[in-house]
Amino acid sequence: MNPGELTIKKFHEGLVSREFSARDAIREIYKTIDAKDKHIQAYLSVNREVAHEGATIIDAAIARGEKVGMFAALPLAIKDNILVADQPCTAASRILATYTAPYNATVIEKLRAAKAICIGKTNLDEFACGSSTENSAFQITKNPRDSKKVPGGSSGGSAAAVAANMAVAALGSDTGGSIRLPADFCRVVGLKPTYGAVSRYGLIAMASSLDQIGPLTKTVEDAALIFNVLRGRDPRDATSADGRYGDELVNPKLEHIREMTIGLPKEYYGAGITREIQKRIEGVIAAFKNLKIKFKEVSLPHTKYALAVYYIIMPAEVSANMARFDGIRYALVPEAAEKEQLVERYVENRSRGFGVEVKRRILLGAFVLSSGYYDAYYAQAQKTRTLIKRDFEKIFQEVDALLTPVSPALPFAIGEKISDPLTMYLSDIFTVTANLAGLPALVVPPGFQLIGKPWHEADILGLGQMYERMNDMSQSIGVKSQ
Amino acid sequence: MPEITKKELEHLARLSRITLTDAELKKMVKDLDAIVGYVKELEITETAGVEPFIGATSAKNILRADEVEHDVHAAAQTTANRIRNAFPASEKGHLKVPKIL
Repeated sequence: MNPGELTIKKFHEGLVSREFSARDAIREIYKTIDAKDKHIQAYLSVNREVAHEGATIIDAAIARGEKVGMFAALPLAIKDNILVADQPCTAASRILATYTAPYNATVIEKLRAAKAICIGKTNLDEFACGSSTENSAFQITKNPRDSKKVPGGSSGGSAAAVAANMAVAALGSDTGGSIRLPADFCRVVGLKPTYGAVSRYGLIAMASSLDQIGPLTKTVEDAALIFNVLRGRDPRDATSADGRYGDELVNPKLEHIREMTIGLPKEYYGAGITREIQKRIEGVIAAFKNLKIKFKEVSLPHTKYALAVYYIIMPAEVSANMARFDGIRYALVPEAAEKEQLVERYVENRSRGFGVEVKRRILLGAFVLSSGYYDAYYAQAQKTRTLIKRDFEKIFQEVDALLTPVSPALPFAIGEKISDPLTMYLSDIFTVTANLAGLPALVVPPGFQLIGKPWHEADILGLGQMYERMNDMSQSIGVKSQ
Repeated sequence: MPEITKKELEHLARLSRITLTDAELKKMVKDLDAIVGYVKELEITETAGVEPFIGATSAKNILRADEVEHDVHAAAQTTANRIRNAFPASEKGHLKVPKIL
């Protein structure tokens, strides 16, 4: 029995019907991890003792006849840039290799209040800088669907853990596609919420105007359930806000969903995507048309600038956020400890501690912000970002959601793109727009993206659940054998 | 004429408190040159009169009363203790650092 194969509701049913105990579930999950993760390498650290303690408390409550909530004992994998108190938090970087989180991120506090169990921290591209998880300082995570391929990034460890049933669900973070691309590559569900819907307190910041935490799950319903727990204004994150969500967030009204019109933005189709992706999306469109959903061709004219805007604004924010890693706060790289002069300490810690992609983005960010270049690059990018956002505002007056591919091509091989950063950056071409415009976006197997209006996660989750039910996706999620 | 010269890059590295080996520097110049060349296309976008989008939120500043929130304060003490225990070098509960001035 592997509880990692279950959805949230099925796990809860199994627990409260005493089919298995919380301790059984946790023990079995770690057995699965022990068997599979030496090949997949999704986890950077696990915390068996703490997980076991949590499970013991829940079993005692159940034995006393107490009612437990839907998330009780739920085994969750957490991306290693989200702080879980007293656990390592490395951001997959040498610079934080010895860092232990001193507090829980708000999302972790919420999940703990719901009695979920964090079973371990998952691998990522260092400081979430990457699209393949190959930029981790510690290990390469393999795609559980094909071990020669990357799992996507930067939340590759989380996506792989869910796809390989080494967790019921996981948390990731998304700045330019880092939840959605791995969800696509590993064939699981991934949700990037509206900017501000989920608190970033306790998320190691990459690009503060773009980052959001979100779930990676086996089903769209599970993504909705987790989002419902995570969301909400947090006084400790000034960019967070309360959306107006009703019951339809987790229980979509299919009559209402059927009335929707989905836009097909022409800039996301055509020469840029491979035949396999084209065929896949055509199949998805046909399935929705069977349900009488209406489609409309639309245009987002500034799409062609989105990647350039992203690769100016994001590195600028990264360079600012990485400035804090000075070897005095947080943690110290061993070679830097020997340096007694302040500047030498800084330089040694950062030069040894950061990997090449992070350095690349720090330098690119410094460049676009430097005098002489600021107006041509950064200021220009900020204005173009407004134009990109306006494109969406206009289109959302005519349609309820947009359907697009997630990636221009199928998952690429490990090692294939790592030495050419610009080629790697092109993987993000369909995902960055949702971050730039602050919009919610959902990825559903076999791999398509739904972009929604701000605060309208219910719409895209509803469309996703409708698609899933039609295709009975929940049966086929999960890799049963290595 | 490259988009970014070796000299500019060395200057930015110094400002960012990072050193690169000669080999790293060579590759970095090449990579950044390609990337800057790509993002440069933004120059031609018509943005006259457009407001910069400086934050993805339209929230305004929300103030709270200047009062101690006791349960938050207690949690903060726990966090503070954990941080103090993690100081790489300390003396009498204070973080010990290299000479600044």
